[in-house]
Amino acid sequence: MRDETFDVAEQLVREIPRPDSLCLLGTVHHLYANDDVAVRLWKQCLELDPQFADANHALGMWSLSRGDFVAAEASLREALRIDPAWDEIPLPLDKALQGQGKFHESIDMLEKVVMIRPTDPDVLHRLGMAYEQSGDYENARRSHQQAIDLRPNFTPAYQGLARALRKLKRPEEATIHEQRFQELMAADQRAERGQRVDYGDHQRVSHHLTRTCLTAARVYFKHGRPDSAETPWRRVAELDPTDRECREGLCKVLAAQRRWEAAIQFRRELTKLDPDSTRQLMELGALEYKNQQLDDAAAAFRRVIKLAPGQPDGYAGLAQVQLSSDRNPEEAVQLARQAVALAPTAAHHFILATAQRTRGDVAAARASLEEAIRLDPTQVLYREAFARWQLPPQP
Amino acid sequence: MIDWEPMRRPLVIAAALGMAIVATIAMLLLRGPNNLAVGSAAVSQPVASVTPVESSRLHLDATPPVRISPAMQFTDVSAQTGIRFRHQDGGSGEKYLIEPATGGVALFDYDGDGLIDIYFVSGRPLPPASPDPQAVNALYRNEGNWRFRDVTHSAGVAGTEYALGVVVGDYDNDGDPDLFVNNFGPNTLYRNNGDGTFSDATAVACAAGRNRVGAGASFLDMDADGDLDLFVANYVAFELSQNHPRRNVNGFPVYPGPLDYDAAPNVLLENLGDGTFCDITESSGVGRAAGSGMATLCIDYDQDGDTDVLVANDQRGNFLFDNDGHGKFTEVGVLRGFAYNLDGSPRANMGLDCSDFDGDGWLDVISSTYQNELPVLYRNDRGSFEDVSRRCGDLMKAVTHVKWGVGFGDFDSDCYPDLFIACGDLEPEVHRWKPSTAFRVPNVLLRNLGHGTFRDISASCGDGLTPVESSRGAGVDDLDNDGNLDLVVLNTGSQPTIIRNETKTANHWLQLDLRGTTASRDAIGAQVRVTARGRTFLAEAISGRGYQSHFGSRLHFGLGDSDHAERVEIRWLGGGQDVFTNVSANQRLRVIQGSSVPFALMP
Repeated sequence: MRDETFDVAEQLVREIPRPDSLCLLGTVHHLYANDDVAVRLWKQCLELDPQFADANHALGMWSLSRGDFVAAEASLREALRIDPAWDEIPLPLDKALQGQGKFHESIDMLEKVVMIRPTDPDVLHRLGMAYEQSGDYENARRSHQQAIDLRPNFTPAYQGLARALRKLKRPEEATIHEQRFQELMAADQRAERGQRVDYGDHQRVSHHLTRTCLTAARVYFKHGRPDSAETPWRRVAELDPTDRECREGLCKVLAAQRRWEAAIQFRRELTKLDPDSTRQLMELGALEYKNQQLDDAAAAFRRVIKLAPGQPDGYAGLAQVQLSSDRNPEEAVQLARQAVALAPTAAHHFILATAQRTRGDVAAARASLEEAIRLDPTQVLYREAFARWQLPPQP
Repeated sequence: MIDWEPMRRPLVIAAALGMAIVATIAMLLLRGPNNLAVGSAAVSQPVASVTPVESSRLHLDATPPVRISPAMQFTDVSAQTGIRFRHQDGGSGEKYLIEPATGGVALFDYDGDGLIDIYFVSGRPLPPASPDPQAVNALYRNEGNWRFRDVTHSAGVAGTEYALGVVVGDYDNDGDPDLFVNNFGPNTLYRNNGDGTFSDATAVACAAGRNRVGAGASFLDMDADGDLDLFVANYVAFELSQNHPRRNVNGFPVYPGPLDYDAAPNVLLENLGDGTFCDITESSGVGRAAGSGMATLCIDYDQDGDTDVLVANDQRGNFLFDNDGHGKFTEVGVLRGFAYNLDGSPRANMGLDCSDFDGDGWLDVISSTYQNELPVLYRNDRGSFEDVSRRCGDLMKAVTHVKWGVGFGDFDSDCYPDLFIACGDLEPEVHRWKPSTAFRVPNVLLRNLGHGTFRDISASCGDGLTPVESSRGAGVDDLDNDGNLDLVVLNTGSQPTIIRNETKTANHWLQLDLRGTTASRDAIGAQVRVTARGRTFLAEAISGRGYQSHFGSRLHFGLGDSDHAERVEIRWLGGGQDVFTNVSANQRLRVIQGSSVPFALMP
């Protein structure tokens, strides 16, 4: 698998010799301890595209892992400057800052992040640590408490909160949080011990190959080569039966190629992973409908209705199935009416119009279609239907 | 975005008495200052410039010193010492957990000649390897002028077990230091016969312990009754025959970690005063907490007059056993901020040492840690610890490697204790999957700049720090009695590094050799405050520190540019204190509890 990992990345570089490919190859070299090559590739990325945030990020993370906080700060700041929305950068950047004792800079940065991501407990915990180090124990307490409010089992935040409370001369409260911290830490360690039982090199190497294939597929997709993404995504699907990203990608690629059965297979795997996901069931039903597996499609949409009776999608989907080959126009009308009642959109009115026309209720069909056109006058399909159906004028 | 997840969350898978014994040593058996003939021929007349005074309030002054020291200079003198000891980890490819964990080093004057001698521990071949008669512990007698002689066999301290840690203490109060070796298997207590030889007193003293993986150990007088009890840290519940998970990284076999095994309780042995010990692990409260102990440090961290026990646990929270003064302990690591670092994460804690590094009158504690972990510097805030590692400057320079031996020492005598950290990985092939480190790496010396910060001077302090080895235990003491603290480093699977401190400085110093009378004979637990130019620093007589090691029995105080200590205050464990004023600098003094004047030790 090690060789296969390199093969995937090297083939990507051959086919798409762009910075993102080189960056991935650099990462693979890093994972297998060829850091000299990795750093050279990352720097090569920046020569090709100085605005390539990923290479700065890679260099920053590499510096951080070596304890070179100064270099890490420089690279991560550059990555963040290029891509201010990259939400994975602030926490390692904060480690670089706090590692240098730059607590006030850390606070300034994290406070800004909190404004954007007010519900991120990790950011709040780091902020609490920075406040604590700067001697602002009230703000440290507030930040740790907010982190705990958002993630009640956030083990280290309890210790931070207890420390801040002790500094604030509130020992009784501190003791409570210390006890909770110890309970959670014991549970964490039991869980870690359980994970270690299953630990092995195969798992690690497989993980590297999986991540490399996923990233390669993204690069192919990004550069307009979705068909080339199929192979790495299929490999991920073999390696990791729980990976959703590869299966979503495969569904997309296969459906675009009208390879319905293959697409349905991966969509079914996704519905097994998320059996209560109405989105997955809707996607599955749509594929089965397109592949003329009408009974299967109907079953999928009925499951959606059962799971989310207050949502219109299942009714609308099942209505379309029942309209197909005139399976059950009467039920289709009822279903479409339910969809309209729940969400009176142009699309739902159009489905209702189709069902009413199929059932022979021409006047009602005309009214529904006119309502659809009124709600979305730009939709050509509705106007074409209006002309094609040759509906009589309103009495 | 390119997925960086593999790097962002890397898998953790994540070290013969050659002279006639001075007859007066025997007199040390007699207790009490009037009968205590001090040591050996190395004792001279009382120092005239010392004036005993009444005890007074501790004077604290955080004023930073004026830095007048030139660059520190260290020289690797290993080749000239005659030390041929080669440590063995006993590995035969089986990757047993204990292989990288041995071993410690003890610096102590076993024959009372005034020169610090060296004891190295070693592992033994582990199955399926064949026994190796060369794999023994070793005692080297300091013969002066940086020459040492192997006296292992004549002294009778070669040992037979797989050794990890070592500690020194005069457990029988006969005036000479005894030796306790913490083993994988039964531990060994060597009683110093006072004639350059030791007797294996393990069975007689009931000190074998519980046949576990021993690690660090400390003698302490837990109940202040004047005799030394013994705290023995145990690593984990490991046996050769079982619990041997096999792992590999990138195809290379690697060692398992402590979390692969059940935690092990430590052991506390009470000295019954008749040459025997009694296991009071359970009744003392120590047995209620089980961890993965690597190192111990016994100090009065909260200055309540009794000795407490700190244990560095590998990948588990550290323990702080708070003593109620009567030998009953409560584990308060979390409560006192010592269990975890600032992140609230357990670290792979290896070694422990303490010093009043910021001169605030409280003993701070350093814990050495694993690769990619900051060493944790716990500042003592009046009995509560606070991780200040991120505020201390170049402490981060030690982050990359696995860190083991750790020792504070004022190497330039500028009043502020500097910090030595011994480094080296567990895995000989680690560079193949983690290029940021290697099995053999340089050690780190951090200079204390005052103001609570350190600067890495490893690359600019002579060739003493240039040897590249995989170091484990380390000790700090003045091996040539020149007033400069030197270094001894045990390197796993290799020969040790002996480092001479050749710093040329106009700074002054004072070394104190304490002798208890009602307190234990080697005064373990005594706290000393030395004031010079208005600045007061605290030190404590400690048995067992660093990584499974022992050093610093003689307390060294840098006095900066002051040619005398304005005040020397000694608080003896169990009560009583002696105070001296206007103590001349640049001398080693023996202070006997209750005596009106200290004696200068020569040379």
